[in-house]
Amino acid sequence: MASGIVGRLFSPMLKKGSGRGLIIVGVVIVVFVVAMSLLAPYLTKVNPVYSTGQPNSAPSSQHVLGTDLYGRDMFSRILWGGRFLLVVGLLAVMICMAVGVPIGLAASYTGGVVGRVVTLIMDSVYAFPSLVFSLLIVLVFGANVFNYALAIAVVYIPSYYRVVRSQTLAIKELPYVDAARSVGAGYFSVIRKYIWPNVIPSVIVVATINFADAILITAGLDFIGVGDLTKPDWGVDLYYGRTTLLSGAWWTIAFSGAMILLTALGFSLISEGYSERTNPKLK
Amino acid sequence: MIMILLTIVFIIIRVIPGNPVLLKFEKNTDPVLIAEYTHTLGLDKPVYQQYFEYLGGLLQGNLGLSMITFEPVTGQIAARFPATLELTFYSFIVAVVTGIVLGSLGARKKGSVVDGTVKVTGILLYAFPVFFLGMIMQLIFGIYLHWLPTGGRLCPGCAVPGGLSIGSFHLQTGIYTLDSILALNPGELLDSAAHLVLPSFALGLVISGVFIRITRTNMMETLRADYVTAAKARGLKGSTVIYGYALRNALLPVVTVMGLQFALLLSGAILTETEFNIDGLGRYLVDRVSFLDYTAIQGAVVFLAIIISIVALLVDVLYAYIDPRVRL
Amino acid sequence: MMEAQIGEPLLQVKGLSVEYYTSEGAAKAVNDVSLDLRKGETLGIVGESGSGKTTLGLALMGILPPQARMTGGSITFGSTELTTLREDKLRAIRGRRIAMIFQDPMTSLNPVKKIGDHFVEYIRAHEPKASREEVLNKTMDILKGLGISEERLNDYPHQFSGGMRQRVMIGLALALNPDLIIADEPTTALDVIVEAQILELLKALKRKYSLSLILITHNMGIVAETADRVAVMYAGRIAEIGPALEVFGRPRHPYTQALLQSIPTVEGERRTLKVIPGFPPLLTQQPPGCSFHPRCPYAFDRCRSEDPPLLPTSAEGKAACHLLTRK
Repeated sequence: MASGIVGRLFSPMLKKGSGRGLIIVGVVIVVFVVAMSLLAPYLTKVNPVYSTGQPNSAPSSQHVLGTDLYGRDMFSRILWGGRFLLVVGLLAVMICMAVGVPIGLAASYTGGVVGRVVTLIMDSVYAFPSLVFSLLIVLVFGANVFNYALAIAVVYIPSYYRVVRSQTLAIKELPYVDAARSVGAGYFSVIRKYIWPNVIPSVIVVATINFADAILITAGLDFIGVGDLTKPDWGVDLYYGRTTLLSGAWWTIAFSGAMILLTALGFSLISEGYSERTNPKLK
Repeated sequence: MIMILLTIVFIIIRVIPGNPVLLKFEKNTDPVLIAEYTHTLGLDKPVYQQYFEYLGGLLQGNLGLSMITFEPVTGQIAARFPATLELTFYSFIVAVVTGIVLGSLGARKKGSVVDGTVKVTGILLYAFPVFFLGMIMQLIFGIYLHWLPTGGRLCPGCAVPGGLSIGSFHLQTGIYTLDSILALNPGELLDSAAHLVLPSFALGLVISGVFIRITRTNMMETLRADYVTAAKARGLKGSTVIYGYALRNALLPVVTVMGLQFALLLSGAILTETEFNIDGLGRYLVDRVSFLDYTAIQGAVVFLAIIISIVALLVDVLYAYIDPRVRL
Repeated sequence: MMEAQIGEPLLQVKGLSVEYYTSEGAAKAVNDVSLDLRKGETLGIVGESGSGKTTLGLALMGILPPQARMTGGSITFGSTELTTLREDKLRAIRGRRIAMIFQDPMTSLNPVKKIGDHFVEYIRAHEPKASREEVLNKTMDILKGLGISEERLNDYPHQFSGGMRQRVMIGLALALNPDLIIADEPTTALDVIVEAQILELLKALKRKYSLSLILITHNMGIVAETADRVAVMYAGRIAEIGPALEVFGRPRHPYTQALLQSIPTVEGERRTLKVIPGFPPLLTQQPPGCSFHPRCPYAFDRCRSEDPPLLPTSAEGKAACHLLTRK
């Protein structure tokens, strides 16, 4: 089943059809960013946390992307700055999938009062602004990676729930599912064989947008000044860069901001690409 | 639904291990001082009592006292909310107008380069960190071109717009653009409006991403609807058909989305206010965070939750009103 | 444009071709179609789904969807050539001299517009000088003639039943006294009882206003009832065309014959349903020669290589079949 999922994940990407271009561009971007973050220690030996040069110096041969207000090398900070964001995103998506999808499948398939109650709870949480909620959680419980991820996940689970639910409800009533049930297919096998495979593409659409949002929210929280400001992080760069911006030191924010944008864009493109695939008539 | 939100918020705040007051003071401060502090804030009562007292206070509009200044939180919020309201309002207009214009353009020119550009622009805008866009705009329009101010709500040293004064009747909303209109002062209007341009566009454009996308998607569907073909067959003008038939029907679902987008709008406002130095509710929240002023933070979050719920309700009503199929 | 007299040619279509552009290539939805319509006549166009009949209707009105293009031919209405007309002039004819009734009354009306407003907007578009009073009076007259009460002017489409909605559509089509009505599957979405009512209505209106009618459908029963002449379409081409009595009584094209044979009858002994083996060709990959030859029981060599032209079968009928050259 694992290879089946991987196969399903990647084959649509290469299959000709709507959205293919978007998915490919998105994946390329994401791979680039992830690779850059993973390979950071090998791509630069310059320390991103300590001052290694003159504060606020423009890009030069010594510091390719300039230095920030503390004299830290921007290039090195760019390479290292994505890690925290990517890890938070990954964790958030994993938590959401682990919690949201099973609940969605079970509650929708079971239906009845259970389904309605769960949906009601989900709808209440759905409208809550994730930035604010994450702010609270991180503030109260501490600024570690897990808390960020958890906070973002909690507010995003309803999105997964909704998507899984709408697919489940649609498929549950189809004749061939009825036929399977009438010859004795059990609860779990119906879900596994009929509902799950159709739910996957929609889940990908939500998961990738989830990732993009997670990055934006985490960077946003860094920008506000919440959390550990000593870590090399694109959002933190913008926090510090605010003060130097008005004096014209554009390099203190341009690259970091661009990287946040790029990463979020990559995931968003994948999401949009898969979305076009699941709704081909709307091409 | 509001109840669930409130309860969650309250629980979180109160779940802070130990006495929040303790977090503010050094380890070996006089315990008497701490006890006094705690008592003034009402934090030494049992938790469930605090919860009900808080709810009771809420109904009367009392959100507690700031842990730092001991001022009523409600008052502090009331002073700053108009700024957020103003920013949100104009940003919303920017978002909706941009969304509808670009979305319908893309739908009409489906499959063309224009459509592709619209699609990508929508995705790009949505992915843009609003504070980064704000910074870029500040750099370009404020610092390099010197066209627009980069922060604040008024020019430094300018007076706050006075609002309406007729005899002893005085109305000052705190919404500067509105107040300057009421005071019939074009100079103030121009100034406050100029300060709003960059932040409204920054926030508005980012939010428009979603609107572009749904308008486009919906309109592509409605353009192919039977009633559109039938309308064309009656010899109606192209523009009549596009706007009265296709767009009008395409916009119905957009209204439902507006409610959800409002939450996003508020989150964005927090970031935008911080970036542009606007003294609104968002910035207030951020400030209080740095001071660890928990009651104020709680008060602000609760207030936001209430506003979001109200807006959601209004949107539902609005939708029922404009869709005849629901209304009747 | 001169008013045509009863019996005179009203519409002349010559060599009309329409192509759809899809991701799989160009589909010839209408392929070199020629037909005539005389004033006061009812022409039925029958064919399966995908035979091109709806596209033909849209082409006549000039409202083909953006991915379709007319690639040849002429459409002459009265003395005016429609294919070369400027859009604004075409719009003056569309809806005024030629009107169209669509298949699905559920989706053919604007859900957010009141019924009355549909009429007002439409009449205003063609007669901008008319006063509001005139327009409203006219609207109410039409509705009365259709059996819809006046109070329903302010109701929305979803408040009407399917049959009533179709009457509204007919009302809209007739409001400005057109010369020609094109009805595309007007009763397909309705149940049999309502269908009979609508057909009766159409016949009565046709007599009253001396209308010409093009009835597009796959239901040969209603064509037999209402049409003076019939054209049978297959894969975008006209297979056979002629007076209804001839086409139904003595069909000369194998496709027409097969179609008539496949209609289940209530009388007589029970037989197995006769079907035409095979499927209509994909419009993007039509076979060489006669497009029906893969399914035709009489196909011979010439059918496989040469596309048969329309050959006369009688004084007024024609069929596109090589069999006519063998005697």
